[in-house]
Amino acid sequence: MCYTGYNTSIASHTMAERRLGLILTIDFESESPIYMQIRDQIVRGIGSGELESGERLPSIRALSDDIGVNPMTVSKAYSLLKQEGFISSTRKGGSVVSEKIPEGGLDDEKKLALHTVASEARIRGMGEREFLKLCSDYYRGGA
Amino acid sequence: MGFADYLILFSLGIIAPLNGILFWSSSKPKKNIVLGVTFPTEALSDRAINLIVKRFRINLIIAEVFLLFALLMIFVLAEYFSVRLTLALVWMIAAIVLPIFLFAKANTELKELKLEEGYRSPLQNLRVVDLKTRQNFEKPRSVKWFLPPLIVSLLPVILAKFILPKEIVRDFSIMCSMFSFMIVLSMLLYPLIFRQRMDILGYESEKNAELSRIRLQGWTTVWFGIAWLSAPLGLLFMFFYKSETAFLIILCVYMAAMLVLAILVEMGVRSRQEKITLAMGEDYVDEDVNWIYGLFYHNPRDRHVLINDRVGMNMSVNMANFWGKVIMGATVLILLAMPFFGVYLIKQELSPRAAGFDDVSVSFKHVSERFNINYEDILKLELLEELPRSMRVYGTGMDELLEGKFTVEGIGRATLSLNPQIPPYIMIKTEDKIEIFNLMSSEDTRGFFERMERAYLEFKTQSAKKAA
Repeated sequence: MCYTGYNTSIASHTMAERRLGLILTIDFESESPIYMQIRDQIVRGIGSGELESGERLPSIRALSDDIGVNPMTVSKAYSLLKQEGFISSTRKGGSVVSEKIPEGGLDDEKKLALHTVASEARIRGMGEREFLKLCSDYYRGGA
Repeated sequence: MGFADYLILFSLGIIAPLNGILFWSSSKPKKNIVLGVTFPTEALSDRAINLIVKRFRINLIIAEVFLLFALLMIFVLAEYFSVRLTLALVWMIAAIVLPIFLFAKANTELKELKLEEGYRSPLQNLRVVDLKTRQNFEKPRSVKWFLPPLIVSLLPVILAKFILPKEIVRDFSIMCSMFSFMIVLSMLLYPLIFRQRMDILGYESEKNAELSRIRLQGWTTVWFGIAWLSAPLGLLFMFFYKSETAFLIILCVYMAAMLVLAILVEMGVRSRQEKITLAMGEDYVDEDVNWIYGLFYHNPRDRHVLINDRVGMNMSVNMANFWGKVIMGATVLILLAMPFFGVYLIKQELSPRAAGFDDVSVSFKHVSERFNINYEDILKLELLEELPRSMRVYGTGMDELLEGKFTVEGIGRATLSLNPQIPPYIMIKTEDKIEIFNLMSSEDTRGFFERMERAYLEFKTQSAKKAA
């Protein structure tokens, strides 16, 4: 079987992330900083239900050992997630998915990002129904 | 050929078949990796791939058989021990490099084929981390489990004072401490393996966890195995300290046991990896880009120095890292320097031992071993017809040359430079050192001793007269 269909790293990366579960895929060649890749994928994991509230995350050192990056990079991702309320610290110094994630919808920055994605979909000829179906799938946490 | 020859022949000769087995094993798919190249499961039955693998295996067998024949010839044809050893060390480099060369060649061919056929995984060149496996990662056993072997290894250090002759207690204790050091080293290194990256196949968390567990179990067996194998050595040496043959046999058994342990664990891990990863999904981890020739890890974005090999449980160094370069460079340098050590031994074995004297002093010279002793400093001058049992502290020990520092029974620490096959031996004792040597024949040694003893006695007489 040939995999010639996967021509771009972006396409393959997207597919990989759609099946995310608890698997993080870090692309060192990506323009997106590594801490943002970690943050985004953990958020998607929480959204899809693969990471449940109260579930323990690996320690900063363990995760940085696995990715092969400086612990500061993972620490930055975790700090951001804590600041946004997605994860919280335990008494023992570990990190867990927050029991109560603050509600309130998307902030302006996220709305703007969604706006950009929707515009791009339209420009590239994606139908509204198809786009909404994709959004719906992601919203429900499916692939 | 003497005992040392058989020892070297066996310990070096084993490299060829062992290397052969390990490289052969790498040609069987594990984690979809064949000879360092990752393919999708479907591609593993590709005729072109199997042809390259088959060619590699045939070349490997030819190379290993040739290497074994060459080693045998070295030991049959070379007359001197040091020459045999030097050629064997050159052979050792060839035995390491030749399979690597064959592997690299096959790896390059497979990589080209992979590119031509467009085999590509969605996870190619991505760093994949399985959070679930990491969360449930096994914890290392408490290091207190290393204490029993450590205590056993330290027992002979205490007992030696009561059991062994005084003159060998110090050297014996130093030797036993080396085994305790090995155990401490295992104790310190053992927890570090739990900080290594997990094994990742793809999205199948259970397989990821199982593979990581297999590796950790393997390393746990190795470190505890080393500790328990090293623990009783001191006690065994203490009971058999009178027999040099027993000493060598124990040492050989110890080395062989370590080797067998390492090989069994490595092959066990490989076999389990093979079974677990027989059928894999479409999304498999492919990090070929980081592995030069499938053997040398080079990833500037990875801050790790030590990296898990993808197949088996060994480790490699990250050659993009400064310390990785230092370790690899030092290893290569040591390997290349070994034959030069052999050249030094040739010089030692074949250079004549020369001694001279005049009215006031006696001198001796052999390669780097030399001394000049004034008669007035000599406390004792003696011709030994037999060499007492000697234990090497450091230096050279060949069938026809003992040179360096030795602990000599009944005499104590002494510097030797002699051929043990041609007695007698001249012993000169001063306040701070003891020299024992002989010349190239028994007649030379005896004749030299008689003439020198006369000169020495004459000097003593003259000195006594002056003093009176």
